[in-house]
Amino acid sequence: MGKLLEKDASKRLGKNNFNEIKKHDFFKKLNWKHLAMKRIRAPKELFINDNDSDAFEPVNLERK
Amino acid sequence: MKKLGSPFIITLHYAFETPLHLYMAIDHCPHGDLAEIIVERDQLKESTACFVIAQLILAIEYLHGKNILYRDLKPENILIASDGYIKLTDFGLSKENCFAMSFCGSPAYLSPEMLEKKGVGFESDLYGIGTVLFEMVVGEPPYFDENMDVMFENIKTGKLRYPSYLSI
Repeated sequence: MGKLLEKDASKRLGKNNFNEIKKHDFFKKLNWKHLAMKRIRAPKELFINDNDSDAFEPVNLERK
Repeated sequence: MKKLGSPFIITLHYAFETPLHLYMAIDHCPHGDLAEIIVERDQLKESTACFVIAQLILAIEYLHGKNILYRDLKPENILIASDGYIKLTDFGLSKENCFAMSFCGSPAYLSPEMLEKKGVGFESDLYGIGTVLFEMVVGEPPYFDENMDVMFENIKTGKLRYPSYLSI
């Protein structure tokens, strides 16, 4: 994490190419191809506000 | 925005305007943005951060491949779609060139080179990925301080501190 937040931009991780970051141990267990194909199940922690209808005003569909 | 094609970047499906407003129809993202999720959960597991940051890397790699700097990476700009995957949004600040000499972005997420007004390059987006990762696993942005002068000074010269239980 400190290598991405390196203050000297010329020494920052990923400066030469993104593979420098992708090969980091943090992503050791990740299958990048499966991720790009969305074949990995997303972590439950990311699911909040699951009630879709909250964003919309109720509409009365009945016509007189 | 419309011509971009990455699964992790928001798609503009349709836009129209009225005299007062511009309307844009984008992908449906019912789980809100990453900032809301961090507030709700305090901080996220490293495995969750890995899942999100990896997609962010692919999205930024895609943009850089098209010679676009994102420049304003922060959790608010990362929406979560119905499948739990990310959609990077808000291209108000992105520029189609390599070296933008301007002061932009949100205070807590500014990179040291932005604060030094040295201009920003592709490396500033790498720093931005780092700030999002930090906030996901720590719960607040790096060097966060309510006093903005203190925060800016720490971004430029302070030592990065985070809990020792983190593996990264």
